[in-house]
Amino acid sequence: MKELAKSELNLLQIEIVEELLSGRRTIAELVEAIYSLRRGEAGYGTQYSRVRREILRMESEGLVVSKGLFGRQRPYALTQLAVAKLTSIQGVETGLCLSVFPRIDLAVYGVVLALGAAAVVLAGKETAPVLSMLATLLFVFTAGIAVTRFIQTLRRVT
Amino acid sequence: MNGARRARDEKQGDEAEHPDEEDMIESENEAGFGDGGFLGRLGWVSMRRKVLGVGLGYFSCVLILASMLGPTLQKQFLAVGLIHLDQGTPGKEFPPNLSVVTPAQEPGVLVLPFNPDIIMVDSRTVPPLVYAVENITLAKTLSNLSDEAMRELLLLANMTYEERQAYFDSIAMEAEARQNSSVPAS
Repeated sequence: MKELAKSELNLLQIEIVEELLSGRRTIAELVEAIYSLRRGEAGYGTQYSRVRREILRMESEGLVVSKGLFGRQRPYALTQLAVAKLTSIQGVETGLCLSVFPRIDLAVYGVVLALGAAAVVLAGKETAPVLSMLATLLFVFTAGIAVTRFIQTLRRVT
Repeated sequence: MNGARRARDEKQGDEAEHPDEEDMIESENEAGFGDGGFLGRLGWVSMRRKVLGVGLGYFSCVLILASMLGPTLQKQFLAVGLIHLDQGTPGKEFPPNLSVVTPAQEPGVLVLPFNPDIIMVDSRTVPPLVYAVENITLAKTLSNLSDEAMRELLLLANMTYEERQAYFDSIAMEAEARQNSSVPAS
C-alpha cells in the first residue's frame, strides 16, 4: 500500500483498489467498507456519489470494469490491465502488458491496412498478378493476427 | 423524492466545505494512472466501450478493403476452379500444354481449349460469364462479341482437339515471328 500511495492513484482510488483486490464489490459495498456508512445514514449520499464518480473515472481508464449489464447495483472488478499496472509499481515483471494498445499491436494494425490498400491497388493492375496474390494472402494472414491481438486487448479491459 | 433532495443538498454542502479536496482529486487524475493515450481523452466512457468502438471502426475498414478485393479474387480463382472441375469429369482430359487465347479485338475474353470442348470466359463482368461451346451464339449476344471474334470461336468450335492444338501452335509461331521481326538486328 505504501508503494501504491507513491503511485499516481489518489487516496480514494487506493482504497477502492484495496477493496477490489479482495473480490467484486458494488458501489454500495465499497461505501460501506471505506466509510462505514449504510444506506439511509447521514452523509451516505455524498460518499456514494464520490465513490461512484471515482469508479467511473477508473472505468474510463480501463482499471475497473462492471461485471453486470443491468441494474444500479452492478459489481465492479479490477481488470487485467489494472493488475499489470499494480504489480509493475513494485517493479515486478509479470509479462502482462501495461498499455491498452501496445506499440506492436498498432504496428500490426497499420501493416494490415497498408497491405489491404496495396492489394486493392495491385488488383486493378493486370500486369502484376503474382504481386497482387502475394499482397492479398499477406493481407488475410496479418488480418488474422490483428483479430487475435484485438481479442487480447479486449480481454485486458474486461 | 425528499431523500434524493436531501442527498443532493448534502452533496452540495459537502462540496462547498471541501472544495480544495475535489480540485486535488481532479488535478491528480490529470496525471492519469490509467492509459494516457488517445483513448484516455475520450471522456468518462468506460474503456471497454472505447476499445469496442475503436475496434468496430477499424475492422469495418478491413472488411471494406476485403470486400473490394472479393471480385478480383473471384476472377483470379475462377479459371483454376474450372480446370479442377473439368479434370474430375470422366472422358475429358486436361491438355498438358493448356493454351489460353484472347480473341482478336476482345481484351478480357479468354478461350480455354478443353478436350473435346472449348470454354470461353468473359472476365470483363463480375462475376465472369462462362460459356461452353454449345452456347457460343448466346455468348455473342450477352458478351457483345465482335463478328471477327465470333468467327474465330466458331472456327475453334468446329475443330477437333488436334486441329485446335495445331491452330494454336500456328498462332504462337506467327506471334513469335512478328516479335522477332520487330526486334532490330544487332
